[in-house]
Amino acid sequence: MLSRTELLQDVMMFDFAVTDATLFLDTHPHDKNAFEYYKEACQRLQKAKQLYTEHFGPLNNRTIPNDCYDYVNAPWPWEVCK
Amino acid sequence: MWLYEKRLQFPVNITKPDAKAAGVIISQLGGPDGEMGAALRYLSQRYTMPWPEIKALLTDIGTEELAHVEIISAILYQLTDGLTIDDIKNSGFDKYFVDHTIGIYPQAASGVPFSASTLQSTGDPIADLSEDMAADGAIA
Repeated sequence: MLSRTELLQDVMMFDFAVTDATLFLDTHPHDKNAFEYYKEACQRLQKAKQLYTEHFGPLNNRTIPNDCYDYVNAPWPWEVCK
Repeated sequence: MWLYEKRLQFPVNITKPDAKAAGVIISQLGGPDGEMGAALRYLSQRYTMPWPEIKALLTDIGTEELAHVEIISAILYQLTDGLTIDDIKNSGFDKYFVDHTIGIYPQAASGVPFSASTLQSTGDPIADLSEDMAADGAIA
């Protein structure tokens, strides 16, 4: 099982790929290759987010799979994890 | 409409407080060429762009700049965590501390509070895109 840091790093990494792809697609919306890359990156991001959320809690206040509102729980992104 | 994701776009892990560095880095948050200005510039200009591709681009870049505001704020928060009174007095950070303690307040390193007077949104796409290039440093 990967650590919280490693799973979060996967989310950051795949999201960055998606972000970059969206900025290109915004001005080249009909580029088929770029769109394929974007879809692939989104799939990987989806899986990474799901895995992180399952083990370490919600990443936003719209996807809270557990039966309590643990969105408010520590750590918040600017806090150093000791 | 914005959804917030409870993570930083890029990790920040500072273990050694540094008030002097914070006093300079704060310009990247609330200074004339900082992330807050960048976010507001793009998010304000997008409404009057004549082409949907540019509306999309400015929206997405502006959103990313908000994520950068968060990164810089996290850096400042960690740089000022655990400062001693001597650290504060000897670093020049005392001038900020007296009004904000270790709260995050958007200002330039000079002490000038963040202002929209450092950005422009004209409604003319050429002028606006020129403004964006000047702000982002593409024109040296």
